Amino acid sequence: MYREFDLIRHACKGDIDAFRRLFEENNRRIFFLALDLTGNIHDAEDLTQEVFISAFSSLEKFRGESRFSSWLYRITINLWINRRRKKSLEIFNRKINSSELERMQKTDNSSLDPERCAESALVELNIKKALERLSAKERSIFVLKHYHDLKLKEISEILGISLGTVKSTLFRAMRRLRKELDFYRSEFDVEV
Amino acid sequence: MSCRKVRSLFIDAIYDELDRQKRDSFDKHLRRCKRCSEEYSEMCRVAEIMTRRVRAKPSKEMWERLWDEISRGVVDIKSSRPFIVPEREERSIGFKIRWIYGIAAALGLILGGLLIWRSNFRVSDFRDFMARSEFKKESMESKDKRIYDLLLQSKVLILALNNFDPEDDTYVLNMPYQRKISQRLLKKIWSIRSSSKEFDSGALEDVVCDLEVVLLQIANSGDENERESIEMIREGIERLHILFRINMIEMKRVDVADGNIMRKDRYKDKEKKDVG
Repeated sequence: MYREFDLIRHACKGDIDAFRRLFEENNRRIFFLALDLTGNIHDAEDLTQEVFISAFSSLEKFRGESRFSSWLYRITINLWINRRRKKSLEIFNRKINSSELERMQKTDNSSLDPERCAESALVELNIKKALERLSAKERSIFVLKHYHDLKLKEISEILGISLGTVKSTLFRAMRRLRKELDFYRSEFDVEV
Repeated sequence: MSCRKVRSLFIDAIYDELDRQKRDSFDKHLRRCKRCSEEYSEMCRVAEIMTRRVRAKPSKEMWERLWDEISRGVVDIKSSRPFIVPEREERSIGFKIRWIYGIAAALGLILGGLLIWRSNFRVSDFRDFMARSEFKKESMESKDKRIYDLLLQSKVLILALNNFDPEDDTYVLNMPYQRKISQRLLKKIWSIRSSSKEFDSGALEDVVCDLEVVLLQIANSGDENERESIEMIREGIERLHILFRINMIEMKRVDVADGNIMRKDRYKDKEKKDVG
């Protein structure tokens, strides 16, 4: 924690190496959050890039009251919501085309056999489709809880909403996901 | 635990954020409630399905590429702003200089003002003016207060007479004491009149005049036929509307924030005279 604080202090003074260290420590979680939110690698990369640049330009505003990663999470969600508002939903709700699936299979699951690869790609597709059905708030909360394993309290602090709202939104999101995944459930049931 | 309460804990239970005690009651409820149990199982199933995804593992090249893009943006920001947040020590030099200039300018203005004032005014003139205005203010305030106190004291006395039930015995009123008080109040009125001939307002002067009549009646009432005297005094009070007029003055005084209604009335009267 102390080291992180030092890095932030140095980065504040314009030390790019210190900021690179901060990037290396947080890039994965921010990239995956961006990926979960946007649903595709290109947009996730763009969003991650925007998050870190934005964080650098407003580093003096970070007061150290929360963890640096929580602050980055907040920036990511805010930027994603802003982007969603600005650009058409078409860009963000982009359907995963075959080339993208292929690319993901190549990069992600090189160790798996082709059958397993196709199966995981299908699961990924189903999950993405289900996530796309959620509202921005529901998706942010679900992703932060489910894939980033943050405590409910922490999510409420990041998003600046009450704990009760976090729980009720997550409950609503789960119900909606249950509805969306109903069609695919039989497939999963067979596997299990 | 009710079904509603259990449902509100679904999220905590799925993500294992329930304490031991709540978890026990939660499980206990699920064992006996089929509906809640089924819904919870379905929720858990959804959570499990959503966990089945295989996460992308970006290559090292991707991180390098990403950092290149970010560093380019960071350099741009740095070049547009030579320093992002200067250290407190560095900033404090400019900060101090600005303060010194500010204080020097303020001192210069004060000194200039003093010089101009000294060249145009004499200190003794100013002192005289201040002393005169203070004295005037004090005397006016004390006069206002005396009249107001007089009206309040008279009001208490008049209320006692006004509220007297004719069927009661007259000793309840203690007329000798009332006479004594009336005499004292009359002395106060004469004292105010002798200290300043002019009243603050015409209305106030009228009230004080009528009050004087009533007080004279009380002060001169005899021991014999007390009941008749009291009746006469009461008639006088009623006819002159003394209580109502005192109440009006009191209300006006309360309305004015600084409580100086008398002075206001005087200005109003003067204005009326001017218009006339």
